Amino acid sequence: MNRPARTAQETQAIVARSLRRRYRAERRFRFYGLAAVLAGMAFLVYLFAVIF
Amino acid sequence: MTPAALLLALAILSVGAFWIGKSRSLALVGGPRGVRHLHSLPSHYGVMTAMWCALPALAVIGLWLAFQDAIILRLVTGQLADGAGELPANELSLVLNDVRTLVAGNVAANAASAPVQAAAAEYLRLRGISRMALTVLVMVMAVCAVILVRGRITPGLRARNGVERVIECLLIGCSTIAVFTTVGIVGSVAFEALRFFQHVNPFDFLFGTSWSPQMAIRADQVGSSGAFGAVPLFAGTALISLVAMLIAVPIGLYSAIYLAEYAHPRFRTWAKPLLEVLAGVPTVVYGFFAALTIGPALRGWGAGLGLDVASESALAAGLVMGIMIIPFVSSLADDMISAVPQSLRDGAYALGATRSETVKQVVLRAALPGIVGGVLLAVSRAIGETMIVVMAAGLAANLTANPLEAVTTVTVQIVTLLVGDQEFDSPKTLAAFALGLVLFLVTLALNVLALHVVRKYRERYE
Repeated sequence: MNRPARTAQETQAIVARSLRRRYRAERRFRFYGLAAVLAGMAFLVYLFAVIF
Repeated sequence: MTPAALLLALAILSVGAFWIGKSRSLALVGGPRGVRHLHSLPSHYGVMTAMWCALPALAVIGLWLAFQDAIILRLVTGQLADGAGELPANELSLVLNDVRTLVAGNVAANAASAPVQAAAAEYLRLRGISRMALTVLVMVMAVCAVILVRGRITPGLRARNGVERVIECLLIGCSTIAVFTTVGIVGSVAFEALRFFQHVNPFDFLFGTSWSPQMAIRADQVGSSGAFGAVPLFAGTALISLVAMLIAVPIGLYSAIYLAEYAHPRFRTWAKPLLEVLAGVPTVVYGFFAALTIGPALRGWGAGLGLDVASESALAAGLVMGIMIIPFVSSLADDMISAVPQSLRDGAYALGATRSETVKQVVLRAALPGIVGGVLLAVSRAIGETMIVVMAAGLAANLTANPLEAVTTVTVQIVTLLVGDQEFDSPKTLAAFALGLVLFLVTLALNVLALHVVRKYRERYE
């Protein structure tokens, strides 16, 4: 470590800058997962709706 | 006694032998308190006695019944020949067939001729004698075995080792049967495929681009020379499987991640079985779903957008096949993700990663071999899937990469080549076996690859 250690404030500032983007990615990812599960169930419902 | 009754009697005798052996071993050491003086458990002595009672007798019954019919027929034939003079071989076999049906009681006795009736009566008489002899022989053998073994039981007799060796032989026999069944199936396909390759050059088959398996029945027939280039079929199979995997892998993978990492346990207990219902729907139901609902619907949408979609498009078949495979991918991936230890996730969280970053950068990487293996298994299922494509894909070979056109697959062609009455000496029919061989080799390679990937790259954390 030849660079001087960052202070806690500096680190927090670096993290905070990208935090909004990262939380958006988090919500998007979670939404994709839920959409996949619901899509699978929608196929099932549609299949049974066609049969009956 | 009939063979069935004999087997029943033997079973009852064996149960008796078990109790005789068990109580004898107990009596030798003076009751249950002395069991520690025995080499094996009392039940081992019982099982050993029962085995000595049943196994030799079963072997005798098997051999006897295997040869009984042939020997009796030989005797009856001798008598028939005395009555009716020498008969040519084929007529003789017809007469013997009459005798057999008469013995089995399938024909009214008065419908048969006198020599045949006499022969049938003789057959029945000889069979009665044979069964009597077998019954006496087996019973004497079983009882003698029990008496001999009972006399030989001593506290030092190593009954357990003998019993376990017999069980081991039984297990080896079972696995051998399974292996030889596989070998037999592969062999029968391979030999028929070899006969096909005597008519058609393997290179023309594997690399030809024209498939029209119609052979001329008469020599002067026009336009049915037969072309066996299988590339359009492989391409069609690959296209439909690709569409299926494009549906199944993202949806299956994302649902597995959501269910394993995000979902509330209550949601999970509902959603997971519901998704797995998709795997329990019979493929023939998926088939008519694709052929009657999805195919026409896609054509209607395509017409609305100005696209020309065939009503038996590769897209419809692939889409429905993909829906069928979703639970296959998702449950395998779910297992793999759940197997990743919590400590890895905790480490990522501690470094400040969000949950999605943890999943993408830690969990999926740790679970990757299992996921890749599961996807490869799903691909081999998609390639071998038959019913959906028979109902929803086309029959005409068509070399195209456009999923909106109708294509045919290897499995569809095997079905159309073998449905109905066929001559099994024409290349047209034999082509099905060559296609089956290629299909088998491809799915085998995929399975081996999947198992290899899973085994080689699996991470062990304990």
